[in-house]
Amino acid sequence: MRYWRAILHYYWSQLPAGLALSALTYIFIDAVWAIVIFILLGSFFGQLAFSTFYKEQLLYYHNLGFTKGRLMTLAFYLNLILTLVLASVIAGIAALLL
Amino acid sequence: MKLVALNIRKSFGNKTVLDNVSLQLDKGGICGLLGSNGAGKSTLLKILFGSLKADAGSLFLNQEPLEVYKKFRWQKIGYLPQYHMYPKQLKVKDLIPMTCPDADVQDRIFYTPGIHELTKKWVGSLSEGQRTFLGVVLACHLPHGVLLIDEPFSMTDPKTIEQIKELLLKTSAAKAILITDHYYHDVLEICQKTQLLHHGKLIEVTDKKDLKALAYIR
Repeated sequence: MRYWRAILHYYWSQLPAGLALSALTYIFIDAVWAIVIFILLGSFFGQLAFSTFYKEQLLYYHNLGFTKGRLMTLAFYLNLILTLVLASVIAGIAALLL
Repeated sequence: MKLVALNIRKSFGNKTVLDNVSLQLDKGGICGLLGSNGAGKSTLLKILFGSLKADAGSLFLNQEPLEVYKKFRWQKIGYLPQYHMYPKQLKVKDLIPMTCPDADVQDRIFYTPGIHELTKKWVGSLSEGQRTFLGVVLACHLPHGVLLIDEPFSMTDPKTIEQIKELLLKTSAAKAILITDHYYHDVLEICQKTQLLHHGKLIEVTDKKDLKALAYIR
């Protein structure tokens, strides 16, 4: 992936929005739904937040070849990977402790 | 690399900003675009880049037709807008590898006079002129064959303007470049062809006399 630094920068910039949505879901519903919402809607809300707070940077990403849709798709896969890695780590620690 | 725009039309409400505008950009030369504030220079650049839809017209990149009504062309055409699009929360030394992943290109950028002194600074803390200079340097090193640069000389000091002109002339050997600016002396100096956007039409100009005749300057 040629522009992995730019993708990571986008990902970290939009991540707080997905995490905030997930945290609200955890508070008002439960942890399982929080994870599901983070994976399914995190990248969408992240894109909304990025388009609101860093709108001018979208042209920068367009110059590198990333449309809004492509950025959102990449963030979706990274959210999925992050969740799976965290879930595996937590499951591993739990197994060791129990 | 060749970009051809034919009969581009764009209106905002009742105001026609671009009225059957046609132009051609070729590798090996810089094309200049002049025009009063609100004449439609930036609108034309946005349409060529693909971030704004035209009402009508055709575009060809290397004789290949491009869909003019949709956003497209990413990674074929580079565009530097007049406002700053680079992430402000990064240091210049981090922005350069993020924008240009090739090590050779990074070296060339880092050793560009005027850039080295900026590398430890945050992009957001740069002055307008420094940001413009950095933007032009990065845009010139993008892999695209066509570059659209909106106001490369604005807010920059005379020494930096000379540097930018030199860089654009050097880059134009390998890329087709369109620039727009109000510094008409500089535009006329480095552009092989300069056009004035006047009442929605493009009119070729060669010197100050033409600009006076068209009431662009006094």
